[in-house]
Amino acid sequence: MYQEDEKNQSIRKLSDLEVSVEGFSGPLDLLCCLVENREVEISGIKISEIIRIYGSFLSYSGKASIDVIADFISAAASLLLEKVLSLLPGYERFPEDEAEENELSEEDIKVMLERYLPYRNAAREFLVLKSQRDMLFSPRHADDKDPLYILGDLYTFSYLWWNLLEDRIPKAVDGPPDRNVSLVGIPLPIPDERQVGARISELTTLLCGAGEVGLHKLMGDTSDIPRFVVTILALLEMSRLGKVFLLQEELFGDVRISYCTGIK
Amino acid sequence: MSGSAIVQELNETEKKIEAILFIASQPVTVKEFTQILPLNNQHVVAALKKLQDHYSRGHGLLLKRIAGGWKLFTDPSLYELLSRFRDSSEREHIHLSKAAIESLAVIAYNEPVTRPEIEEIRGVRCERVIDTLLSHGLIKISGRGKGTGSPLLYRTTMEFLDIFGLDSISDLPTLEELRELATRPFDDGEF
Repeated sequence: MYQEDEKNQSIRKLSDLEVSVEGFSGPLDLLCCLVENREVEISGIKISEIIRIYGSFLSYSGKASIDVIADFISAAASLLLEKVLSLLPGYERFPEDEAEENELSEEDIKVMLERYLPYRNAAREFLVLKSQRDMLFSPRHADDKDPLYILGDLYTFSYLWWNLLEDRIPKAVDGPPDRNVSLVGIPLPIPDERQVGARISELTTLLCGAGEVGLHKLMGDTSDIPRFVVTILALLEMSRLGKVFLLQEELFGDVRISYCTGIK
Repeated sequence: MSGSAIVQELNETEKKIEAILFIASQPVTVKEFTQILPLNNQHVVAALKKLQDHYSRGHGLLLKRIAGGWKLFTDPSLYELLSRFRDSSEREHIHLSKAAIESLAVIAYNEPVTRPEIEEIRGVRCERVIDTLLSHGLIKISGRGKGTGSPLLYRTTMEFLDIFGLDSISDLPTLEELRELATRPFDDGEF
């Protein structure tokens, strides 16, 4: 507890102090630069502790904009990468660039260029073919390419949404879509409690005196998902009130529903 | 009607094929024609050849074999006029850098090929160039190679054939033929 207070105090002190260094966007950026320049040995730094302190500082200061968070993640990732590489045996910075410079002899370059020559000629041939092809126009349909939506373009988004919705509304014969019927997979716009209440009344009438009934039989062949959900909710509520007894003997098996006649 | 031109009447089949080609935005294969018309391959090819001949006689359109199918195009002589008619944003042209087109050539002649193999031939790294070609749909990933690290294999697409006006890869000159071509200076920049 005491240690936590001490940490918070040190963070508070840090937040009061604002230091800006030209060319660096923050302390982690500066540390990354020092590590990259080999002025600080990364293997001796405990990155988890630095990230914890700096993360707490950002959180406490309340100045953590999305840019700052992005810089923070980027800098933390750079530090981690540097540390991982430094801990691997035989790691040297930018060895490939030097190797490329030293490896190729004049003879190698000559062989390479000779081998590459036909590809350069092929590229030239491609250029001719492309310029000939560019002279030709062909039919192009607006829906050939994937649609592109600009973030925040609510008009296009809602237009797309209503078109999709329109497809789901059963169409009357030779007439406009019937908007009063329920959409497949979309719950009815009636408050849940009213739907469940109405279904409890229906089920009470159905189950009273019917003995034990299976859920499968009760639902029949309906594919009306909202109605199924409402039925389940109604049965659970009836079970809670002690009006029905529900029993499922096997996982995914049928649910047996018994109406409790003693309770009104 | 010009006096010297001989107008060829199209029969019902040829008219149907012409209508399909008129509305198609992608090359239509012979197989696709046989699926919607009660014709065999030979009949379809014969009708297409007749149409190709028909369009080659004083029309503003031409019929061309491209990317394994058949497609109607405007006559190249009308390019200037149509460029003025069609807004520049609607044009189908893709701009490729010299590095991109050279890498594409390496892929086309060696497909399927891995990135290290392309880099070995070109002598420079090609990561970004490959990303560009993938984003334009000119190449696609076609599996993994057997080498160390199982590198991705790349090959050209139908889009590549379409962009360069080719019917198939075999339409390209061979590497031996290209080796014999005189070397001319290659301008830098975009094509």
